[in-house]
Amino acid sequence: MKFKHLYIALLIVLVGCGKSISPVDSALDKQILHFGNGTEPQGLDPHIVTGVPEHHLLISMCEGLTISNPKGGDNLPGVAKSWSISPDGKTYTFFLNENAKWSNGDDLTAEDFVWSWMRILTPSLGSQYPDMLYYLKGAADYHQGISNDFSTVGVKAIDKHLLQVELKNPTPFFIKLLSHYSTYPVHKETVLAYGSIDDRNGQWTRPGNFVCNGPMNLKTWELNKQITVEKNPLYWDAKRVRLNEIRFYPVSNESTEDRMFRAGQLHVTNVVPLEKCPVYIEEKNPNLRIEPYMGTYFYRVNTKHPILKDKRIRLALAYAINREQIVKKVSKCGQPAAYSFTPPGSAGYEPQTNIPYDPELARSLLAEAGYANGDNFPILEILFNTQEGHRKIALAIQQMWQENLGISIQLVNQDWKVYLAREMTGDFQISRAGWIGDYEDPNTFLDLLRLNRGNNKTGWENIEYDQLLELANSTNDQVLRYEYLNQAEKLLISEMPIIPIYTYVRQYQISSDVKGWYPNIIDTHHPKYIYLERE
Amino acid sequence: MLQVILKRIAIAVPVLLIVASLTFFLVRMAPGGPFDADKVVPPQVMKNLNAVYNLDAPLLVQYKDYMLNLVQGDFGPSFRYPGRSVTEMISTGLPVTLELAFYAILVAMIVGICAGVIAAVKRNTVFDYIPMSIAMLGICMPTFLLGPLLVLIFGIQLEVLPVSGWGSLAGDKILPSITLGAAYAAYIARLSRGGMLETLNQDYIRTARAKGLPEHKVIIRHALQGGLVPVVSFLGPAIAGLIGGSFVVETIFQIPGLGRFYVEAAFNRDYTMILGTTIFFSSLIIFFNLISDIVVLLMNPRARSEA
Repeated sequence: MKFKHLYIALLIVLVGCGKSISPVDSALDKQILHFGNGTEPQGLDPHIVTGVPEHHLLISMCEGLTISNPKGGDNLPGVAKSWSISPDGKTYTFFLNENAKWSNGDDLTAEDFVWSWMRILTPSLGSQYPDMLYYLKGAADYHQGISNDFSTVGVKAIDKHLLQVELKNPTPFFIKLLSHYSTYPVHKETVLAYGSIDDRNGQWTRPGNFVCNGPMNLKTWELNKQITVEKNPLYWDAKRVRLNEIRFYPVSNESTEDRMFRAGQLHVTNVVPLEKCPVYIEEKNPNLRIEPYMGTYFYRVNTKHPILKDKRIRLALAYAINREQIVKKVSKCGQPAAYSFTPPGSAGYEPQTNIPYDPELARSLLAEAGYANGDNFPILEILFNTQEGHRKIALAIQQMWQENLGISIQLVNQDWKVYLAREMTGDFQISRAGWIGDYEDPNTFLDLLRLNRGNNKTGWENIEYDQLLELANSTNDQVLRYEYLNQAEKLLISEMPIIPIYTYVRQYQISSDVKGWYPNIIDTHHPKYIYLERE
Repeated sequence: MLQVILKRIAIAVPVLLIVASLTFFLVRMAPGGPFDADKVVPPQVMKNLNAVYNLDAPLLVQYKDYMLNLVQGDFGPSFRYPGRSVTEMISTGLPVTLELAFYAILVAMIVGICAGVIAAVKRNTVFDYIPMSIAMLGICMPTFLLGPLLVLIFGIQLEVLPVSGWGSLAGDKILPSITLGAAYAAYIARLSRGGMLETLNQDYIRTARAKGLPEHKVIIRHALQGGLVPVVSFLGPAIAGLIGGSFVVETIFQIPGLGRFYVEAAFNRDYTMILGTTIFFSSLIIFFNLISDIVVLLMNPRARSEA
């Protein structure tokens, strides 16, 4: 009997809790977007941080000269209401919006951009993205301390609302760079009120101090819990902004994020857990989105390695991988197999390369290199950072190479930083890698394998490839440019210092209440177009 | 007693200095640095970053600078989160972790002691077997399994409790506290059962019963004090373990506690943060062990006289 009372009490407590109204349900009236943002951002200073969570936050609170088009394609006006380009493609004149203001009410002027770009190029700030402005005349010299005079850098305020930029070469993708947060302006008076121009630890990014010029304002920042931004009434296009608030949650655990979405605590997730993706595809989950993404999953080959410096062996390895099987049976989340380094459809660029799955050709190439049937071939290592998805792909490739080429492969997984350190020092043979484009243009991929690029890491150097890229970046004619880039891509694939595996997709869940959210290859969803509505 | 406390504090200082020094050199020996990223930082930028954080100085000079700052209570700036000091991050995460640990230990003690005492009193009956079997299950079941399981039942199926958060939604502290407390409840149940069984066989308990004292008074007024000594000795390290080991629960339930900073700092090679949190957790372990020793001394006259 005693226990009966206990059961009744417990039932009353549970029923008393009742089914609560979820945050997603209650957000409709208030127009509050609950956003799964991956990890805690490093910070909110656009000239210091790097990373995708920071990108989501900064596009809501600040704005550059242009913004990414939410439907993909050419950038749209941001602070610059229009711009003109000189016939030689080297001089850009930006006409700034007279209504553009800082969130404290100050006017936003051309001088603000000059000072902000000087800040990011100040060596002692230690910004990790100064190269985004290296396309400007004199910028690299200033950043590398060769010149101390900022007036030699190609950016000038002609008047309050007229900004002139001079480039080293015609850079057809320059307008696209200007929506990247590293080129955003910062409010000089606020930054200087909390430190010097090169102070990395200034407190100006804290709630209450933060001043920027985007559609939203920083409201609260609770470390590792949530960041709330609210509508900025002083934003020049405020009438278009329909969301009142966005709450960013740093949910690094994919399963937790999935459960939060299912319980109505999030409108948008950052990812879908690896093991859930095929299940949701099969269940035809209406919230699941799988969209093309500008990223490539590939294997990096150390071309300085005594065996792998032979092009025929690299080609044999590439031709012995059945990519279709990997995407269908291993990654299983709608990724397309990759036959080029640059993902197809990046700003209208279609790579014309192919990497056949041809075990016979692969075997003959290996035999040509002196290893018929894989005899006497040394045991090679595939290095990857510890993650289940990478391990499964490495296992599949290990088996394919064993079956098709008769060679043995050892799998080596390492902690992320150890993996990075080994790649950096060339202490690897074959390593897993991925590359996500910073802006929508093939240059963000092909530039990687040029001479002296830190991110190359393969040891591969090809003068012809470098010249083709140089030619592509010095012409104003987009058709000709893509032709050069395609030639470079073909050369790259014929040499195979990297072995493309698949093209990334963006897989996430989104509530049907979220409107004004369009798929685009660089996965940028500008908050001023997003709103909530239930059908 | 005072002598014992002073002795323990005198030992704690060199222990902490050794922990700090060992951690300092160990993290530097680990491959990879705080600014290594997928997109390689250009050498010029790396040079600038190293200069900003004093990483370009010889290691021994860095060690000397760090220790001098440490003695003055300055843990330095976080490398991963520019603009945040390690002290600020610890003080942000600590109250949350302490609160979580407090609720967890509360759950553990209420459930554990009740189950243990009932099991000891009703020895070899169903009231002994069932709680003790559940306790064994609790010890075996890891938090990363129990947490999601509770979330699935109460958060997603029944929709009565939030699946994550801390202090944002009504009732969001219940599931994490139960998850974290469950394993400790199980330990406490077994310890209190053992302690109680031993005490119940003592002569003074027989005397109390012989004097005609009702059974509940015998247990509550006489047996509990001796029976719970093993539980109290366990509580010191348990609380320190709860605070330091809440990482999994914090991750599952998206709780902004210190555990997440601690583990993520190691992955990010955030040198100052690793050092700061390690030294801080070491101090906590020393402190809670000291507290638990003092309480045992107060509860156990024999130990007091030996001390």
